[in-house]
Amino acid sequence: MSGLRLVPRLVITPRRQVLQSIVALGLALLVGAICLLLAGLSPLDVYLHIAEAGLFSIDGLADTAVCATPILLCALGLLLPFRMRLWNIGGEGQLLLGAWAATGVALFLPSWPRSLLLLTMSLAAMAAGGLWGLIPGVLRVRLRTSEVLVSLMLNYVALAWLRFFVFGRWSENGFPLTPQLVKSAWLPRLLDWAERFPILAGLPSHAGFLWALLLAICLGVWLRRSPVAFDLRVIGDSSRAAQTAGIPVGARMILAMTVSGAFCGLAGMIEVAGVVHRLQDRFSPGYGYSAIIVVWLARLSPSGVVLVSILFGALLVGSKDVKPSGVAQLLQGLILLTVMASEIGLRYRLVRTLPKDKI
Amino acid sequence: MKGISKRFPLVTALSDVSFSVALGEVHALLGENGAGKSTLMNLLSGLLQPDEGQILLQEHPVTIGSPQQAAALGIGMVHQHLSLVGTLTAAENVLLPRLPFWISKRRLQEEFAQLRSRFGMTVDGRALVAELPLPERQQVELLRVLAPAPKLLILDEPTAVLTIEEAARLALCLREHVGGGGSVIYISHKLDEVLAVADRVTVLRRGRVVAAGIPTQSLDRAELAQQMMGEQAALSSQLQEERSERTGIMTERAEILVVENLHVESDRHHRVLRGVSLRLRAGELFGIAGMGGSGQHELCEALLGTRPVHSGQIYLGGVSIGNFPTGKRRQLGLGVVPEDRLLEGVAPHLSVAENCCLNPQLRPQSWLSQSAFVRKARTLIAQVELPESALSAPVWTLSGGNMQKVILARELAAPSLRVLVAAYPCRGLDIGAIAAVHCLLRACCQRGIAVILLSEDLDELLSLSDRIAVLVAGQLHGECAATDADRTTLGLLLGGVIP
Repeated sequence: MSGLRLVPRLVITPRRQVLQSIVALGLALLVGAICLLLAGLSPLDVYLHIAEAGLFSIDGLADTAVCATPILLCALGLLLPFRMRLWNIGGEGQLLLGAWAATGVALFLPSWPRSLLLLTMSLAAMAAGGLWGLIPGVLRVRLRTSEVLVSLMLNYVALAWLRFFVFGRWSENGFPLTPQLVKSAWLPRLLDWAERFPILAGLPSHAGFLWALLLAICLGVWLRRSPVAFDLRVIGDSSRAAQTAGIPVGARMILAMTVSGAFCGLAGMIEVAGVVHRLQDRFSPGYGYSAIIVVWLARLSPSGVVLVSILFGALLVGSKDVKPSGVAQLLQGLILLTVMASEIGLRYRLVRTLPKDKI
Repeated sequence: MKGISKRFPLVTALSDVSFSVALGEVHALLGENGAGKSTLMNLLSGLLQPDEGQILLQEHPVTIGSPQQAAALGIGMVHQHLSLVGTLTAAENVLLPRLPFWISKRRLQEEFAQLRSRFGMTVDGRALVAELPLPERQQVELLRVLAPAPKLLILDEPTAVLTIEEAARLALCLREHVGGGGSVIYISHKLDEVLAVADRVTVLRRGRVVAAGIPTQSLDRAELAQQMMGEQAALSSQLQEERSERTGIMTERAEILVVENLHVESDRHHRVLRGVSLRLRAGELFGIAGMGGSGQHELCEALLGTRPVHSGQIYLGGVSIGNFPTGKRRQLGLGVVPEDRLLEGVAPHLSVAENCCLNPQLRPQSWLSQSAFVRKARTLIAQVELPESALSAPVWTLSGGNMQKVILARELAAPSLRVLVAAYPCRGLDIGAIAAVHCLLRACCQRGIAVILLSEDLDELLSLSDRIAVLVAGQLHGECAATDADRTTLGLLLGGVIP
């Protein structure tokens, strides 16, 4: 019987990985176009609008940078455990807890000087997020629980924790938000200089984006050069071999989960200090979840994560005023699906088989 | 089966083997690991196809293309590694292939109970297979194969996990099957058991029949053991001279590794090592023989620190290392050639250069770069005669022999190496690679490194080791100098006959 068969690829080159991501993206856009057509919209118009509003205007770019920052930070964090095949799905909860800790610092130490206050807020956020990553890590290593389930469920714990404060303790006049933070707890923004450079008026981009880019570069170098990062690669490839080689696999796993949580926590702090300037219910539209898709689409590369985060930020910004709403979520979901599906294309190739009696 | 040959890349598993089973008999197939027993039976059960030769069933030539075809011809096989669905009950597993579309749970259990009592088994049909202990799972597997009433039943090492009473029950069950006109092929390396169960015995050695269909009444154990082991290969006089010289030196050397009364449990909390003690001097090669599954795996893991020690002591150079993590033990001078190269020895998708640095003593401590890896690895692979072009290739693209050379080079390059644990270092390698590995192990001893060599190949052990012992049922037996080793005694020990 003649037919098609999947044969494993022997070598997966970086070029093929990039190609596969692009194919996945194209496929998602194609399926998305069909959905948009069914909804009675012109896909071309919608896509052009998203591109224009998100990427090809000064205002749009400024907004995109704001939106991309938390996604980028979370994605950088998730990259570490993902490289060891440790699935931290708790980025969202770690981000929420980081935001909570940063807000707490700003609320109770309003008189501190700006640089010290911002530094303390960052550290507190990283500690809180790190703790939220540490828990599933320790449980995984000590009790062999699934880090996927624990980290995912901790998201809901973090959300409830945040709401407890926003609705109760820290609520402003019964609204589900805290009072606005003092100005010294705000990150510098482009529009702060609007008086001197009128062109910057109304641009909300804040310093957090630069921090995130800087961290991406640092992480990229660290992953290439550090002996510990080498351990992570070995563990990701074969944890048994790592164990035999004497690498402390458990300790490295816990480390990766904690650092991952710290990055996500920092994303929460930057969102609070750079954008909302207070803590409120539902301030994150699921950055921690988007980051998972970003890391996959970027094939676990730091530079790829930067690029894809910006694209995702643009998607969120550009689709804000597309009706019906939800186009961004639709496309995100489709991208995750196509990226996952393209894994097959990455690992296997299609081969035509000959009829059996001819072999 | 007539004139069967089967070649795999690099090895000839079977050459011109003829084998026949009569109706109503239990025929045992005996041989060391790697003798070709399993290959022969896989041909019969349709998993493999012979390169040459014919299979005749009741005098008609047949081709058996798949296990389904084998089943249709009335051949059923119980494999060494059980193939059951853990999330289903015992009864469901047994009757699964023959279930009608709709059956009530009660009917299912009734049918199961009927089958069970016919073969005198005790397993509970309602229990989930995953929760059953190993011997009961074996019962389930056996019932599953017996359920369609095969004419020919093949059992591959069926008693490896059974206690003596359970093995006796199995023997009864087989008698019942044979009494009904069926035939049984019984693969084993346990001599006593074969003598008790089988009517006739065929012995395979290195892919050839060395004794065909001998009735068990006319055999004794020592004779059988000798046939299994083969004639002693004469050691070259040079090697013997070198050996006796070494033995003289050895007694003056310091003891480097001391293991005292080591007890270790398996993953399923069975005690698999029961009081293993051994002492190694610097530069000594200690060979451990024994059939796989007698605790070798756990011994290696306990020495390396990837499996907790239940009780007992391990000293490396006088330091008790029983509670140290693997990394620290390796820093102190423990090297390992793991049993499963691809799974434990290398990170398969990393480059050869990076894999050369998978040793805490070789890993660059400061900032890494690809060129640092390559620089470190270049000298290493030159020593084992691998081309430099291999450095950047992913390790899994190498042949087994070359992969083993990378592992050995990496372990031997550790400056503080004092003890090397080599588990089956030559398994699956071609002759050239085996020679290279042997050469590296000898060089190791000359450097004053103590080596523990685990192997299933008695000839290999006898030609390389200074001392030798057999690991049987979690204990070391028959320890002696390799020059004094008596093949018959070793053969009996390998067959599980403990004096």
